[in-house]
Amino acid sequence: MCLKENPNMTKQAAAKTQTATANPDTTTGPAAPDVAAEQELVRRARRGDLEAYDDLVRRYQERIYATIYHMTANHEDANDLAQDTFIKAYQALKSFKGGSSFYTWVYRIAVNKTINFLKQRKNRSHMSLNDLDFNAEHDPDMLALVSDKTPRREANLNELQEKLNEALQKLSEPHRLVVTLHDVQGLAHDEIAEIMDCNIGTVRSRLFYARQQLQGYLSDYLK
Amino acid sequence: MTPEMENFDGLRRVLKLKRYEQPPPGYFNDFSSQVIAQIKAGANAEPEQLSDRLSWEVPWLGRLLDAFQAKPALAMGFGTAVCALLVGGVIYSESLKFDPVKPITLLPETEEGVLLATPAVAPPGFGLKNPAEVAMAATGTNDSLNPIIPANGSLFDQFRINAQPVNFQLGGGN
Repeated sequence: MCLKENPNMTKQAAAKTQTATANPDTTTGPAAPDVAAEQELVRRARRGDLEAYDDLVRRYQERIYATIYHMTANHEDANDLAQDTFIKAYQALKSFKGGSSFYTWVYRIAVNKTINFLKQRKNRSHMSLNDLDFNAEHDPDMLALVSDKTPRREANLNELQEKLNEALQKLSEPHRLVVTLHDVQGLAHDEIAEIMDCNIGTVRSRLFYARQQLQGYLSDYLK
Repeated sequence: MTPEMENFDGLRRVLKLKRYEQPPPGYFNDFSSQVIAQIKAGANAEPEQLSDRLSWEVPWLGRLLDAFQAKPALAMGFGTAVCALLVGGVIYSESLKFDPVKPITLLPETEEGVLLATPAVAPPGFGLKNPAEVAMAATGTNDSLNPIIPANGSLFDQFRINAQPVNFQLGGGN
């Protein structure tokens, strides 16, 4: 896939992307004032109000899709799984007890569905990567990666994107998930622990191990 | 700066590239409407699989089931352990079986030569070899108010019906 400019992207969307890119920690859960509104939406959705559920889907569709996409490295699979996640979540909404936020609960459904899917898929994987946003061309970090020293000099961002995804696919699912949620999506350790139903220590150790593995796979690009 | 950031700074910079991977333009515009349409159409109305639901409702049980699916030997080992526990429990309970003719502890003989037992007023025939015989001897009856089971009989012997063969002969039948 090539690096291309996205003509349909509005200035607002571009600004949003840039903000999220500059500070990945902004992609964490809903802010406090939003919690009450979210709870009200959940209450309405549980009573069968599809408009309320539509609002909930819009709130989290990008994050859920992105998590699944980074895990599968395949747009079509991510699309199917993301839709399936929200449908299953709606069907299971009556069993949602509110012990965690709706956001964490949906994330957990998405993560479990994705891991089950990847276990079934096993060796039949093929990558179908999304195009890079045009902002990548202007990111100084990205420019630095492709403009100096061999072999980076010859490599362009698309090649690096492919190598990076190949390296991620070599990781086990739990390790890939931790890297995706923390280093790509910017979730905090405790949020990841809640989503993965493990303790923070496990999250930290998995993250450390996964990074070590990735560093080995991408050593040519990290010199 | 933490050591992990120092060590993995370059890697984090490369991973930043992932954030620029975007789905096709306008993809999210109708994502939620597709989801709602599928919910309305009941396209996914098949009953929710228990294993699916367990995986997020009870994650540890979901993981256990996954492990069993992945490694049948583990499931076999678990099954064997459960069976062994069950058999062990049965054997143990058999060894603790209550002995119905266990003699009652008697107090030492008193000066009057009377044996005192606990409780002080023992039920008729208690502690004797064949309570049925004793009771029958005492009352001389074996009625419903005093249901005594014969020593060698079954509980249902008193309801036994004597069946006699009946021979129906139909005269002049074809």
